[in-house]
Amino acid sequence: MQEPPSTDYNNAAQLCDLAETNGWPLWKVALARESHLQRCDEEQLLKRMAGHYRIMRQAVRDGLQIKVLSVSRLSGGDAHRLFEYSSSVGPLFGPRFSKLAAYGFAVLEHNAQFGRIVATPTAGSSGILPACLIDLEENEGLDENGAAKALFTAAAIGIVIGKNANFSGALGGCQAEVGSASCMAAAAVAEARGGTPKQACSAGAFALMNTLGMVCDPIGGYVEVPCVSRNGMFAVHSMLAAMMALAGVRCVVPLDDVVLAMRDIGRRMPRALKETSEGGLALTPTAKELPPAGLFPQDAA
Amino acid sequence: MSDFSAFEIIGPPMTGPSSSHTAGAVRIGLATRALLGEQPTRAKIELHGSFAATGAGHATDRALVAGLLNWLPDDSRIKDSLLFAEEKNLRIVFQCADFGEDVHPNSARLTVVSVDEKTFCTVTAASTGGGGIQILVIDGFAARVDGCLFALVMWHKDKPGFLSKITTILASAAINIATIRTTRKGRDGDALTLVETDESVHADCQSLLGHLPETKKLREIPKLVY
Repeated sequence: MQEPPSTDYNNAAQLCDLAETNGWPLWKVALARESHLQRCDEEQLLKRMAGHYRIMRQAVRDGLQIKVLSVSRLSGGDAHRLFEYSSSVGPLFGPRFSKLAAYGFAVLEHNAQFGRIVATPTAGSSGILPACLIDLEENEGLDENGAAKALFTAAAIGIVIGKNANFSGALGGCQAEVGSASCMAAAAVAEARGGTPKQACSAGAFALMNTLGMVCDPIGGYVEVPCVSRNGMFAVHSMLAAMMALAGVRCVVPLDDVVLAMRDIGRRMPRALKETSEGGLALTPTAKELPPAGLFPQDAA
Repeated sequence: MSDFSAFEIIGPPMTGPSSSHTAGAVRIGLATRALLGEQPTRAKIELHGSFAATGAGHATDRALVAGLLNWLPDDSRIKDSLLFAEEKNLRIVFQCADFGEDVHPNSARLTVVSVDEKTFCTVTAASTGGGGIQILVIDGFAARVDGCLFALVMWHKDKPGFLSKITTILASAAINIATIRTTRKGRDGDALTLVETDESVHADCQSLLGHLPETKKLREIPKLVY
């Protein structure tokens, strides 16, 4: 049996080449690659991804219902507040805008209360893709199969980031988590809205470029402040990046260069601002009033 | 090095709150349990870097224990794992530790003891982000296992021809070897061989490998990342 031509790639330029040579969207490249990697047919993989999407949708729904505070008392009830605001009279920028943010909040509030989510790419950034895709489902007629394809677009871009940088807040700060998620979501939305592979990559580049330098300094070490609001806000940011790419805004720095910049900044970022809660928001007077989360009971004694 | 499956990027489905500090920690616990070969009766868990600094807020302690109890990252009971551990007679001590600047900031060292108190295993592993892990050290031997494949782990005497015996047995069972690495403590000393395979090595084949005169102990780490 003849080996099919390789669908693996090491960077966004190669990914775009593969897409253009075959006349495929990005999701199709990622799907073909996965099919080869897992020795599994594409139809089954799309079904499995649709299953992940259903977990995301459930996380949004459950998160919107939360009305109690988390164990740390740092989050809880704000997704619900934003959602209620969206149905008030004349919400700022219309109902769709505040709902989008509410969905990002919802997943992270659910996550903080030990709920089931899909790490996309991490738990701390797990609200962005669900928020964007549920918005498209509600407003643009994206069905489950379409959402599964969009998640493969996101994976196509995520593979570029994984191979050339990383997704770890401890290694790269929040830019590696929320930045990566935003990058992936922007590309997924751009492609779902009919953008070309290059436009999808530009959307990703705009999203990631404008998260560079973002540190990981969660209060008390909990994935809540600023993570919950950040997921809501960067769902909006991702949509804006997709909009810019679809409008043909010129992307001066290609995605591959932005990813390298992200890695470089991550390496230079001080350890205190990389998920250790030893700097930034975690050291503010407000944070200091909270009980320490880092010490185990026997150490505190 | 991971192949980066799309389902690693979009996944895993997991119980919150943190992919590195919760889901990755569960997988480290699962790998450690597999290396011991049973649920331990005692465990010392040392936490380094960000695991020590913010682990409690992320339920890293409970997630590592959940793995030792053989639970998966999306198990809804993770937050209560310490209670289950007590019920199942698993005694745990937690310590903060410093493994040095060069060790990944999300790392833990687990020392586990079997029920008959005869078998010990010490595993150092890092949670590399997004739920991915890297096992760094097994019983003092440098290791590199990321759980993306099945991994056969053999503790043995360093003797000429041992590797060819392994590959012959695996070949006869039609098992494809992805990687194979041996590290040893000096010539003719103790050695550890790690064989990553695409499929799980079935029991008959494991028994053949386990009965080789050089083999002291054999375990298989299941595929942890899908």
